[in-house]
Parts: sequence; structure tokens; C-alpha cells
Amino acid sequence: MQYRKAGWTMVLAGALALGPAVHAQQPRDDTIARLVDMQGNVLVSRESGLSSANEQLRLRPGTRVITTSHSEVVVEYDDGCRVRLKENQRFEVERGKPCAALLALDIFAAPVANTAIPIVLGIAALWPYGGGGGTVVVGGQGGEIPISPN
Amino acid sequence: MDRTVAWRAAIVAGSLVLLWRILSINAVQYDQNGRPHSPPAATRAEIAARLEDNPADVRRVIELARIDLASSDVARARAALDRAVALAPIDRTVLEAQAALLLDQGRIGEAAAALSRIASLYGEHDRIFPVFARMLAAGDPAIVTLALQDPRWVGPFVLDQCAKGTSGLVLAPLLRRAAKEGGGPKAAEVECVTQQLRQAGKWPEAYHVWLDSLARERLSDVGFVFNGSFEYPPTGVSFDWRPDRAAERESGHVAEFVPSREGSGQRALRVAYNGKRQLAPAVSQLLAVPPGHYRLTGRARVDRVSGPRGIRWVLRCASDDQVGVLGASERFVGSSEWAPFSFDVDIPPRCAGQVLQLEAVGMAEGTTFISGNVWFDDVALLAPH
Repeated sequence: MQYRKAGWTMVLAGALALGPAVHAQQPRDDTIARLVDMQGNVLVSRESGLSSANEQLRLRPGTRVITTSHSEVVVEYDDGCRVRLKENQRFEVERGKPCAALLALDIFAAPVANTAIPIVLGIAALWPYGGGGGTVVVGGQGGEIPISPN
Repeated sequence: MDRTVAWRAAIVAGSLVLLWRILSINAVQYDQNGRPHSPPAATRAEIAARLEDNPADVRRVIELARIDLASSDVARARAALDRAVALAPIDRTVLEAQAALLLDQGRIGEAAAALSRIASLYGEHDRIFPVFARMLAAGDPAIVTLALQDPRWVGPFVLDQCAKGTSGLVLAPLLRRAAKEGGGPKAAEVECVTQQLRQAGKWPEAYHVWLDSLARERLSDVGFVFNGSFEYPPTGVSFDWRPDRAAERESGHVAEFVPSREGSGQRALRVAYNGKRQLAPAVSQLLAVPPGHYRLTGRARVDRVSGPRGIRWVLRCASDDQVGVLGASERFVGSSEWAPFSFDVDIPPRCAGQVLQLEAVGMAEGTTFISGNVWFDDVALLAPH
């Protein structure tokens, strides 16, 4: 019976000893996320400004992550939340927000015409022997491109 | 005597023949754009018959396409144009006809590609750029797709549109073409687009366009102050160092990045003042630092700088005239060996863009004469922990 008690004690002691070991795998600094699946040039803010980042770089709250053209990266929080940045996006690492509220922002919100814009070429200008001519309407992304002949 | 007269008559006659030939070619046979004048109207059957005699007559093939298009027979028009393209793939007339037909059919992407070839091969910017501009304004992806291939016309097009006030946000995608064999966006394009964005109050966007233009190795340590160790030659573009471009005899100073054993690198900034009146900062850099409290640090060496109040680094708000000075260094005057310097900077939320300048103290208030030399190295703006 005493052997059994001693065995349980050893199991408990081992569990207690392992506990901190498991925690030790978590970073002891104040970082809360890391960069994964990085492609291209990704920049992060540091004490003296922006510098290029590396895969697995640990991130503190308040760090800004910026992707350049043809680049992308995932900010992976320690709680499992993943925020994907496509090219030309920025993201600030924040603590305490629900995962769904963590969104990368587009740096360029290009002003695209709301309505279709007619391209009046006076195709005669291109057509070598006159004739032709028309108004091509471009715009309304994803939709059909109507033609209105003169 | 008779022989001389005969010679002169022959020369006059020859000149008249030559003149008639020139007039004929330039004013009768071809229009002001160098194209043949419209051939006499002919029926489709007549043209087809002539083509049997000479199947490679591209002009007649195009004429055939025009007649087919006029009679709404798009399929036959396209077949004729395909034949013309096969016969003369880089002929300007053929490419123009092809582009016109494609536009008429609403096949914008393919039309843009044909126009791109014309612009690359023959220029024609005055006629083609307005079409590209409308495509760009409409957000048509074809124009950006073409631009990323870095054809010859893209640079001139960006500069043309930038000068005409097209939004920098619209032009920015055209600068994302990768540099290859001397290609890619030119400094003038980056400068114009970023300036346009800054003037529109879009400093973060301007900064990003500039970041995108940097070579990969330069991104390793961009910093709030770019190239603060003065290791790389200044480009004078966007958010890089801008040494005063005025001649020394006018500006009274010369700013150079010279070899130096001090600091973290191999070079340092040296400004030589020649004793003349100072009218502008010797060197400056635009910044786009987020709001907050910072500390600007650096190292300086001063060599016999004489002047009423010396010189200093000043950080001003460049995006809002009402904000003014955000921080200034001590005054550098007299002589001293290399020593660190620093000053605090507070950037308010309303100040999206700043400018760091090395200037004579009191330059704006009155006449300031400076002589001597100063060196600076390891200039950095640090955020608090």
C-alpha cells in the first residue's frame, strides 16, 4: 500500500515537473504571434522603423506587418487564429480581439469608376481607311462589356 | 553658252520632276499620317478578284475586312484580319485595324494587347495613351496586366498620366512591374507618382509605392530614417535622402556621402559650407512615421563651423502646415570630435508626413552665412519600447 502511495506521489511529482516544461515551449517574451507561409518581401516595424521579416519571426502587440507587391504572409497567433495578408496589405498585431475581427487592410484602395466609362475611339482614328467607328464601354468589373455602335 | 543654258534647263526640269514626285508622295498618294489615301471604292468581289492576283496584298485584305465589318459579317471580317496579321504581323496598319475590330467587338484585353504592340513598335502615344487612360480609369485589368510585362510605352505612359493629374492610386499598379535588364519603373515615375500621392494627402500610400520600388537588399533595414548610415548614394527620390541640387556657388554648401571610419558603416554624410548665404537645407529626407513619441539619434563631428547660430537637424510636419516643427537638434557650431547627439520628437496623429532637414539655424528669419565642415553618421529615429 505504501508502495502504491509512493507511486502516485511520483506520478504527481512528474506531472508537476512536466507542467513547466510544457509551458517553457511558449515564448517567455511578450510576443503573441509569428509569421508563417511567407512569400516575397514582407516588412515588420521595429524600434528603428521597417525592416524585412523572416519566416517564424515572433511578433509583439503593436507590431505592424506590411506586404509588398507579389508577397504574402500569414500572421499566426499563439491561440491558433490565422490572419492572411495578401500583397500590398498591412496588419497591426493586436491582443484581445476576437479572431474574426482581426483583418488585414489594403494599402491601395484604387478608385475604380462606379459606372461604366465609354471609350469613344472614333475608331476611324485607328481604322486605316475610315469606316467602322463605335463606342466601347468598359467597366462594371466582372460584367459583360456592351458595345454601342455609332 | 548654249550648253550652259541646256544644262540649266535640264536641272530645272529634273527639279520639277523631283518636286512633283515629292508632292505626289506626300500630298497626293499619302495622307498627313503617312498612310495611303483611301483606295477607290470597290466591291467585295472586285477586291477578292484582285487578291487572287496578289494574295499577299495586305492593304486589300484589310479593305476586305472593312467591307465585311460594314456589312456586319464579323466572322468574315475577323478571318480577313487574321489573314492580314499572318501576312504582316507587325505592320502598323494591320495592328491598328486589328485593334479597331477587337474594340468594336468589345474584346478589350486583346485590343489592348494590339495597341500595346503598336505603342511599343511605333510610338503613337498621342493616339493610344488616351485609350489606355480610359481603360485605366475604368479599372480594366487588361492595362495593368500588359504593364506588368514592362513594354516600352509604360514608363512614358505613367509620366504622361501623372503629369495630367491621374490619381497616384490608379497609377501605382503600373509601377509594380519587376525590374529586368534595366527595365522596371524609373526613378522619375516613382517620384512623380509618390509626389502626386503626397499632395493628395496619401502619405502612407506614397511610402508604400516607394517601398515597392526598392531593391530587395535595400528592404533589409528601411528604418524610419532611410539610409541613416549614409552607406548608399542618395537617389533624391521619394523617401530617400535629397541633397540640395543647387550649384555650390548658389547654395553655399555641398553635401556628399564620403568614406569615414566612424559609425557603423564605411561612409558618412559630409557637408562643406563655403561661407556664402544659406538659402535652403543642405540635405533633407521625407518620412512617413506613424504618430507617437520618438527619439532621433546620430553622431556628429564639427570642424570650424562659423556662423551666427550654426546648423541643426530639424524635423517638421510636411503634410500639415499648421503643425510645424516636431523636434530639433542641438546647434552644431565651432569644432568638436565625433560625439553622439539626440533629440525628442512628437508626431501628432494629424501629421502623416514629415521632413527631416539639415539647415542653418534662423535661415528663414534672416540672412545666414555659414562656413566650415560637418560630418554626420548613424542617424536614426527610434520608437520607445
